[in-house]
Amino acid sequence: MKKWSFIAMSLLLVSLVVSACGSGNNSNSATSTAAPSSDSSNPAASEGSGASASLKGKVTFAYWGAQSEADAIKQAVSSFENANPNVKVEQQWIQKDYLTKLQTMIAGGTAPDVMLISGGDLPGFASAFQPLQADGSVFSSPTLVDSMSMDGSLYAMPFVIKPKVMAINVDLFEKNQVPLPSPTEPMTTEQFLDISKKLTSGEGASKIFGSEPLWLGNWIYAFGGQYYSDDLTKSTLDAPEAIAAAEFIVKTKQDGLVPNDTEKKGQSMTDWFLAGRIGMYTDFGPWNLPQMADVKGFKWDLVPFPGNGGSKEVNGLALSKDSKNADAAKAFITYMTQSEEAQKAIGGNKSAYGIPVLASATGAFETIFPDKNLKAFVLAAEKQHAQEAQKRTNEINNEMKAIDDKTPIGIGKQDVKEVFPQVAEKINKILQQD
Amino acid sequence: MNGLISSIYSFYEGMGMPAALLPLLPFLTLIAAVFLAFYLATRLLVKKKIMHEKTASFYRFVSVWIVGFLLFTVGPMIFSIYISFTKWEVVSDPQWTGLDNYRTMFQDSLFYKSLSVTFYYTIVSVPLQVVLSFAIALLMNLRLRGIYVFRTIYYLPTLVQGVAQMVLFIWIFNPNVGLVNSMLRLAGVEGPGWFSSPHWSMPAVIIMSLWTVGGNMIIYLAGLSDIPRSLYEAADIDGATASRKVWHVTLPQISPILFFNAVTSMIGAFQTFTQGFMIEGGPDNSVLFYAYYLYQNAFMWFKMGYGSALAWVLFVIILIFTALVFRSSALWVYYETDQGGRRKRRVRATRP
Repeated sequence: MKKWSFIAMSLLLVSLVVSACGSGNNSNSATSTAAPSSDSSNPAASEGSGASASLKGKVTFAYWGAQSEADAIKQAVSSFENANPNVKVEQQWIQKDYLTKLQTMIAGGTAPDVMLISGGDLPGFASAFQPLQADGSVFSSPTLVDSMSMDGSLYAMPFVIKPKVMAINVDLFEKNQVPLPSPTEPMTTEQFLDISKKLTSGEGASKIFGSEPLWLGNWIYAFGGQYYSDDLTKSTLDAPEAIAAAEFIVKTKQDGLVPNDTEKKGQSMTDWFLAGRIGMYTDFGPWNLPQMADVKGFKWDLVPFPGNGGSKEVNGLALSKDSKNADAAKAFITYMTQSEEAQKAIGGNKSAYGIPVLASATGAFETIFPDKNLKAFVLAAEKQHAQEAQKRTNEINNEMKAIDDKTPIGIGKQDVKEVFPQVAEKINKILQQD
Repeated sequence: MNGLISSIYSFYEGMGMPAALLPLLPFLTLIAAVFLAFYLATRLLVKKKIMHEKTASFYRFVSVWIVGFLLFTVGPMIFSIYISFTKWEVVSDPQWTGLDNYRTMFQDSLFYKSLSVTFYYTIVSVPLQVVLSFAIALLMNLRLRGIYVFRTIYYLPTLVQGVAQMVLFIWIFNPNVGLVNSMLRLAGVEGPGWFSSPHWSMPAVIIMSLWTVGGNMIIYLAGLSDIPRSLYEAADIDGATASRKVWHVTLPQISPILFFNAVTSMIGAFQTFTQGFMIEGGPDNSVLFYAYYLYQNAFMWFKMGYGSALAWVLFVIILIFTALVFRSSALWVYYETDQGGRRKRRVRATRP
């Protein structure tokens, strides 16, 4: 009938118009490919890039990061595409709320084939990933594989490392006649305290501090402590090492060696270091390096984190368990993590994306600032304690807020000896949930 | 359902549709199918003479809204009831756990904390908002030269709401350089830490909530201008003072609007989210609003099931309190048009 077809036509028209409006969005569909086997029973495909001729189709790849980091990734991706001309990598650069978006895509059945994931977030997402096979010895440190594993299965291939080192204001050291620390051997925590005292001077708005406020997440390792027992089943915040680290942090605050809560409120400590108001910047990651290129007023350098402290973030590439083009996706992961070319693109990026996981590519990272001691980063990438991961990290972090709220580490007044065991107990309760 | 979607998907793929359109097309096809089915159903009813042609047209026109409401509001709501009986970590499949989520709530100290925070905020801020906006409306109702300028000024803050408002107030309440503490310092008082103090963050949020009273003020103003002048004239003749006129004429006449504002403000207060979200629950969970705690569970802690259960409990709480306020309205709300109704009689009975 005439009217009927008119309505049907107009509905179709409307839907086409609406869909045309939406065409600007990134799609995350994977075109089906001629590759017949999409199961993981074919490990040969994941070994090396020799099978490039048989790989085709599209691989979707999601990652987060700043513009400069995305540039490094794009460069590595295009070198993969050159090596595998039949595979098209569709990139989804997610700039905000990465984990929430990933979660939504997984729940909606439109998960990307390959996802960048940090070791800290891995446990929460592991059930959406496929276990991978890897030989740990190809990486600069065999333990890298452990930080991407859960219960013995590898869920993401190590891709890039972001360790912590300490930046120092060399001029300030010389002015106060403090000998410069060793570029390879970490100073002790006592030495750090001593130097902080010598570097601190002045009053009020022009006061120069020995260090920026210390962060438990780095310093707990300097005292030999850690957040969880080795099997990750218990919080070890009530251990003497953790409490010693906390008392150390409180002491630097009370002695006025670091800015207090009022002084630091709303201030960027990186800016303070750049302005010469801080002698030692301990929470210094690779992402801080680009800013340092602008330093003109004073000499600076990098040294290892005091007392072997600090923790490194390891980011890996994970394969979706629903991937429709798993063979190509696996080849992509292998290329990105184990080919020297891709790893050099990642490490050699001028904006210091992170330290490559291949020992043969770390040289590229060290040449970003040839006259600075970037070796400190490379050493930390090998030796530093990896970020500790729990499935319920966010929920645990919420309990961890009590440390700031109740003890002098933050704005509270209670003794750390009292509060830490309480927090540990609450965390244990969360860990006992199934 | 997934099978249907993927078969539509591959159909379009076979037709050679552009890749960017593919994820959207199954969705649009299904929506179009729903409308088509609805159209055919109404046509059948008209043919069988069960429904008049004009009635059918009415339903076809409103169907756009109805379908949207059913699919995107009622549908997710029903789904969330189901989810609230499961353990669903979003990235894995839901597992049926019965009433477990509701039982957990009783042992969850943060649940009680968030409830008490939300009640504290509602009980203090709603009456303050109602009284303040009514008082401002009374002032703005004065017939003075240039009163429109003042009305605009008092309404303006309402335009800065939500996240923007919170960002603004985080700076206003900054303990070092914020406006409030700088003013207090001029007066010789060292101000509190506001959002960084467990005791002062809630008062700060409540003070902040009064920033937007301009919105309610406009509604009161409209109500005030509706009150017949003759009532005031009659009161004048009886020799009533200004305050008596407010008590005996203005308040009864405006009570339906007071009622409306009280109910909507109360529901809004129970659902407060942004203030908690922006400062992550505040120090020592002092502004852990219920809606934010729900969000934390569902979207940050991967506990979609528990989050849904919390949402339904909030729904029941709001339902109960709204019902209570509606019940009480018989005692204090006066409807001029409500002649001879039950409520009217009750109002009379309470008067001497």
